[in-house]
Amino acid sequence: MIEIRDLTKRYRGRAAVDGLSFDVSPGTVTGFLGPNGAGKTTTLRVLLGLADADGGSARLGGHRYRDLHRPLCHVGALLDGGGHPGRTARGHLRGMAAANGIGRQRVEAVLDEVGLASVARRRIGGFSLGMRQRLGIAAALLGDPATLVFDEPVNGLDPDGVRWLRELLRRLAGEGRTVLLSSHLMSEMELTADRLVVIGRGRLVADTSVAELAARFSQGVSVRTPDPDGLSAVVAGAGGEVATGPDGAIFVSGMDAASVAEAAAARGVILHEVATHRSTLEDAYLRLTADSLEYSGGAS
Amino acid sequence: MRQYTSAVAGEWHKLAGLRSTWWALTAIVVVACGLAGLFGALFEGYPQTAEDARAFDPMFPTGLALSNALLAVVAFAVLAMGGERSGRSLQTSLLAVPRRGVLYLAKLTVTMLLVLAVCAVTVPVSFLLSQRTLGDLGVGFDAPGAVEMVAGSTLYLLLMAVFAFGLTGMLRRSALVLALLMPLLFLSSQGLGNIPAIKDVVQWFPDQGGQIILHVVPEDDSRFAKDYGAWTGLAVVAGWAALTCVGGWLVTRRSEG
Repeated sequence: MIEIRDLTKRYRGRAAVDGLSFDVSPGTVTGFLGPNGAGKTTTLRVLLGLADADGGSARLGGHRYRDLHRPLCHVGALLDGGGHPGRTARGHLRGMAAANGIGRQRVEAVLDEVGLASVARRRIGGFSLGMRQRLGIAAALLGDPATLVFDEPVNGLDPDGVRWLRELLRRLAGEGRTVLLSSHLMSEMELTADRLVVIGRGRLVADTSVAELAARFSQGVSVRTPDPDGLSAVVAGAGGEVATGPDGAIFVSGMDAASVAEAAAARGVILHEVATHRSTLEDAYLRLTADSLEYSGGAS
Repeated sequence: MRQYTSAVAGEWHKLAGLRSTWWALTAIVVVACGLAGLFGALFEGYPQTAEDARAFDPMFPTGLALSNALLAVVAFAVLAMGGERSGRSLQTSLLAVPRRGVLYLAKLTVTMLLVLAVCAVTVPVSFLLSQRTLGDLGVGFDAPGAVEMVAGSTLYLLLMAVFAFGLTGMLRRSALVLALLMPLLFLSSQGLGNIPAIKDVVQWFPDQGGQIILHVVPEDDSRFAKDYGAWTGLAVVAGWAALTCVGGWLVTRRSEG
């Protein structure tokens, strides 16, 4: 169980995370999404005790990370860039294990699990990005923790590796563990996550299930018009909602194509294109964050 | 306490798992023993008259070798403390041991145990080597002050390692600490503390306090004598070590990984 409450973290006066609150429940894979620079990594760094919060709290099962005894046995984390290049894969894991009272057999077990047993004696400096990522996953699994936090885990993995990781994450959640998976790629989340926490500019944009998000955004009408303001008024009058898509088209939800075209004709709004749109979750995510950036951009 | 002992085990694995650790420790042994043997041989025929021979301090070549080995000891301590920051593995260490104070103390413990283990062997061996190559001028452990010299020098090297470790914790950049300490220690070994104009100030520098126990400067010669004796000098070094050690702890406690 992860609880983020009113979390604020500033770097040189600029808020990287700004009053963020959300929960991550056990037994699910929760996707943590946002554009680059949205504050995902900062949130995770505060959660893992690597940085101090300027306000609010980030707790794991009611405790701050720093107060956990043998933290690796409670929380496993994969963050970017760990491991001294001069150390062997096995040596790296043994150091972490020893500091948390974890036995050597466990080190061999996780090396086996991530498929690095054959290169355990090689130095990390010579590892490919994918091998390093696997080593990071091994380190996260080391203490058999109830909570797992992965920051951009698919980076550098080949397609086989991506599928392996997806199955691993699903299995870990199936065992009743809390899994938080951060990414800027919606396509990956679609296949892996049950719930989604979306942030933009350090604020919460959406806290929803993947199914809800799909239902909310998956169908609509994509419209091109020289008179967007006129169209907005027409749609608002007919009870629909508009959003500006990433490609400049206007996306209308809550109405079908025929009723959009008829309502526009009745008010003399010219339309160049009207199309029924079955969007992917990726589109839904882009619209969600595009709106949030516009909103934040106007406010700041 | 259990947290601390586990952290010590972790730090031991981390330091022992790096080749650079063993290279740095080997460098201490090679510099100390090699130079001790060499300096002994160089000074063997040095005293020309009987009076010269009486005035000659047979522990001087040993001390001179150790004051050079000091550079290797300091380099090792700096790398042990600062290597993690430059090696980008600090994050991993903080995930395993999130309490900065515990991590710092564990790292200090392991580093100093290694320094102590190496110096406790290297210093007596250097003494024996230089005394042997001194030939007729050489003395044994039964000579007055010999045991004090060996024990005090070991302690001095250890205290300087603590000083360098703490300073690295304070300044957080190994390269900066090495750039500060290496020239200073090198100049010291060349007699920086004997320049009359600056002696009053320089004698209180962190490394100067060990020069009497090292027999690098004589205690009773007015040209070299300091305002303190051999053991008080070591206390000055200990003071500096305590200062940076606490300073390093204070800085590290607030650091973000």
